[in-house]
Amino acid sequence: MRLFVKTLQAVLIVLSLMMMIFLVLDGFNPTMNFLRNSITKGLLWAFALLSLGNGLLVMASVIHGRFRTGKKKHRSHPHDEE
Amino acid sequence: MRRKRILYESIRTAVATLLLLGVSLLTFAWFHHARPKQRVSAGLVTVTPTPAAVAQALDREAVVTPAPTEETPAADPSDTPLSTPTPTPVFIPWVQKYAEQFTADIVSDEQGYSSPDLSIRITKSQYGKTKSAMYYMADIYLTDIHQFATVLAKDKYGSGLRESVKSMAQRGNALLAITGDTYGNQDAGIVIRNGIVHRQEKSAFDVCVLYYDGTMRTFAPDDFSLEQAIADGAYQAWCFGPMLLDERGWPIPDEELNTSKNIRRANPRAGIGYYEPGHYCFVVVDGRTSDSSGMSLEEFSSLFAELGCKAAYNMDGGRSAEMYYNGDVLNDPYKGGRSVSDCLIIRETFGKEP
Repeated sequence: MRLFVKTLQAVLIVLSLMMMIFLVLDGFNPTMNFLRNSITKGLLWAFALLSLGNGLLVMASVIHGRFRTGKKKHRSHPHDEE
Repeated sequence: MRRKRILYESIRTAVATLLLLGVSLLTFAWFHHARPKQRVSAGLVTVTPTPAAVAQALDREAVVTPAPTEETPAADPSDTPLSTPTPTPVFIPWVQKYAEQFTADIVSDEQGYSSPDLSIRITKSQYGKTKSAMYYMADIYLTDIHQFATVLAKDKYGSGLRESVKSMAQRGNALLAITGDTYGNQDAGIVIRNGIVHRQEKSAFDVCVLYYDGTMRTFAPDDFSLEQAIADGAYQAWCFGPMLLDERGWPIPDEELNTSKNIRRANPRAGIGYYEPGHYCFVVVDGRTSDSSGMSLEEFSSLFAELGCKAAYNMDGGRSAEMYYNGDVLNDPYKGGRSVSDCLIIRETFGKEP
């Protein structure tokens, strides 16, 4: 799971950098059509879906972390309830 | 120790990410424009108009010439109609119209070329407020529209197919050539070459059409109709631009040119100008060097207006901008130039359709 998350983040960083590079290049040379071609559209879809996946993972881990922290607190102070 | 490990891990991750980015960009470039790939041409053949249609087209362009008068016996003044007769549009063969431009024998030197049916005059000048832009202008007179042709890289319609202007020009037996619209870098945009429609999809760029009757017109993307162009006898159509003169032949202000701000800046340029059917000019501007700074598109537009053109169109510039004449590249392309998808050529046809 850790490797999957690490790879996902690396891919997202690469995709976001690629999109920024395409935007800059398109400003310099729009005739090269860096933005409106089928490959970039595919990459944009991948970027959007992976970002969604990453967002859900982060959200899940935050929720999971809250529960874990709560349990830890609960365990670390067992005498509080007494 | 822990800090060192964190730093090492961060550098390793950054290097790996950059490597992955480099590989991804190279892969993208390969599939996007570098991979040679022959594409399926639409293969529509535009129709060569009849001489009557040519005369009609000339009338549309307001190049109406009175019919040559034959010597007739003096008519009775009472028979003379009150209204003046309307001049009939008559197609004067270019060989007669531009007769003074042609020579009985072939004359070829550094300044140009002339023969019984073709004339090319080449001038090298400076332009701009500080005379900082060096340009070459080829003034061209034809007797047959087929003398004006295009050559595709590797003689195939496709993407990622590239060849130097010189190599294409020599294969096409050209006397003169300039860079074309590099259609192979785009997925869309009208492509008509030597009477064959290769691509029908419109793009956001202006279109330039050269018709069989010798007229040349430029269109904003929304004003262009492929059906109409075919019906009017389109011989060549390019999709790069922008158009450089408006319908009155006046220069177009910078902010109205249909391209991005970065493209409008001073750069090496290649362009084509139209005076009247059979009379055109090719212009190539050197740039990004100590001798020549290049021209902004607005300056390029003003140059064509000052040259007296009725229509003008920008072709692929930057490192691609090249002019070939009689066996050599005339200008000084930036970093030696680069290979492109196509070029415009002027050649001898010796009265025969090639």
